[in-house]
Amino acid sequence: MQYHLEMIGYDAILIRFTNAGNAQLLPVIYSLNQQLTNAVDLDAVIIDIIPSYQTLLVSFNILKIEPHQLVTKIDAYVKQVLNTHIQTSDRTLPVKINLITLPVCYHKSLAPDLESLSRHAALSIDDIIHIHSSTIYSCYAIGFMPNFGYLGDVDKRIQIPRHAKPQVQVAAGSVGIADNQTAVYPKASPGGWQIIGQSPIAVGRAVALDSLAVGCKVKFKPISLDDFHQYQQKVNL
Amino acid sequence: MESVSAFEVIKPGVHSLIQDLGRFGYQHLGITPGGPADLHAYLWANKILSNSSNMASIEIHYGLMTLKVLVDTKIAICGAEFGVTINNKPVFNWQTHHVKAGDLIQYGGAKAGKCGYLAILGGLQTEKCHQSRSTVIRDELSQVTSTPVYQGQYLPISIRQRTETITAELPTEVSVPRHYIPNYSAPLILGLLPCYQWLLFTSKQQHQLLSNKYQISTQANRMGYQLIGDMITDLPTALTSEGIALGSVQLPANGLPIILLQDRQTIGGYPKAGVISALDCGKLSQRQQGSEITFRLVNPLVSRYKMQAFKHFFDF
Repeated sequence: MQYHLEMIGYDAILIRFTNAGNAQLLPVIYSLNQQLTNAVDLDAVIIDIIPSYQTLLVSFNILKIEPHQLVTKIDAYVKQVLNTHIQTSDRTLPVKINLITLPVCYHKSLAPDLESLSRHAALSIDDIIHIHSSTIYSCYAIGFMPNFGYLGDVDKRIQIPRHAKPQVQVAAGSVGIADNQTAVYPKASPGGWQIIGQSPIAVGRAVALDSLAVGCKVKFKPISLDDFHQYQQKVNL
Repeated sequence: MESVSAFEVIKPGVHSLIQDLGRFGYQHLGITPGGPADLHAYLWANKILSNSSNMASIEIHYGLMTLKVLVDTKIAICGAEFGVTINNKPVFNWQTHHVKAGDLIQYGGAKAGKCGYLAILGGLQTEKCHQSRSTVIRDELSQVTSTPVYQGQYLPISIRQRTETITAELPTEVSVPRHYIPNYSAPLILGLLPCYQWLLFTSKQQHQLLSNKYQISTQANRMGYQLIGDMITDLPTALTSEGIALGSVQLPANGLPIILLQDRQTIGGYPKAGVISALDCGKLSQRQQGSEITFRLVNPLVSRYKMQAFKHFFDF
């Protein structure tokens, strides 16, 4: 697994991994993010870390450290994480990974694109629901808006490209598919993903999606429309 | 901390937002830092009040705001030129002003620049979310931090601050030394620090970016500034999303640069030619639609020394 460190402007360092697939990289990115976040010697130095598929962007306080010193420190952390990774036989790091289960209602009233996906994939709606909710996804990145987690990989049979033109308004909690990724919209927003259901827990500023983090695992649990409404009432109390 | 209302908002203006230095340490959750569009003007407003650098003030875009003062205190006005009056009497920009309960502070439209800062002794004490008072409308983190200043709003300061004001102030005003007052109407040359995908661009594309004359488009806000001008063709296609630094110069497929600012998305997949410094981001944020923008390469070391000196001076 190869990597290099790039200076971004004068106050950020980008750690970029090359020659490895996203799934293979995820435990490394996750572990490195943990290490750097908890590094006592870097606590006053690092301002923000943005982990994503193949990179971590580390911004730092230029009054606290010289860039070359931070590069040396970060390089040591990367090497340490990669060594642990190589020594672990099953290629996963000895870290506790959260599994988050999100209820989703796939009722057609909440799933404007489910029927067209059914035609596109030549599968019944029940099959699509079954496939979507029986996969355990990994969170590869968070962005676009707070707590919007890019979850992968979507089973090849139910992959579908984004809408050519983004929808003006996607409801809060909407569960979408875009190619090999799926996601929950934490709040109402314009968006181009194909909406196949809605989660009742992701309304407005609800905390349900706060537990999403790069590297965590997510599973969807199908619920009925009645359950959906009951759940929403509970959340809104 | 117990608080008292310092202002009643009579007219909120076109677009006025509470800002402190920003919301740091949450970008891994997709939460953008926010913070002042123009650090220079924001920090001077706090400095001439002897406020600490992170104290919250009002960032006023395009002006037309009217506030009624509810306590005797001291304010500072910095940034864009709005022809501010207090009780219908014109007052100087880049200066502190003692105000009394009942005074009316009125902003006209922007004569030069785009956004100004109204700071108050001790800073505004609006409710924080994730350790910051900065307003980022799009992030919808909390009611207070996602709502622009609105008509009828009462803006709080701490009670302790008010009593200190009354007992300890002399009626002298502090102004920003003339040397530090920028000309927001001058043509702007942005210093590009080449990084990210710079080396994926051909030398012709690099040359085009550095020699093109751009103008600020209508798509220019706290998220980013879209420039218009000659399009750069055959750019690298979208890449795997990666973290976006402040001031990133993004080149999407249409070949027109977008400079990403305080309210930017935290990750993105468009190729980026590099970044501009935080100070250049501030200068850009003061330029109005149609202003001329060019790029030149700058030495990252020089930019870092400048920023270090700036941070030392303003103590943040």
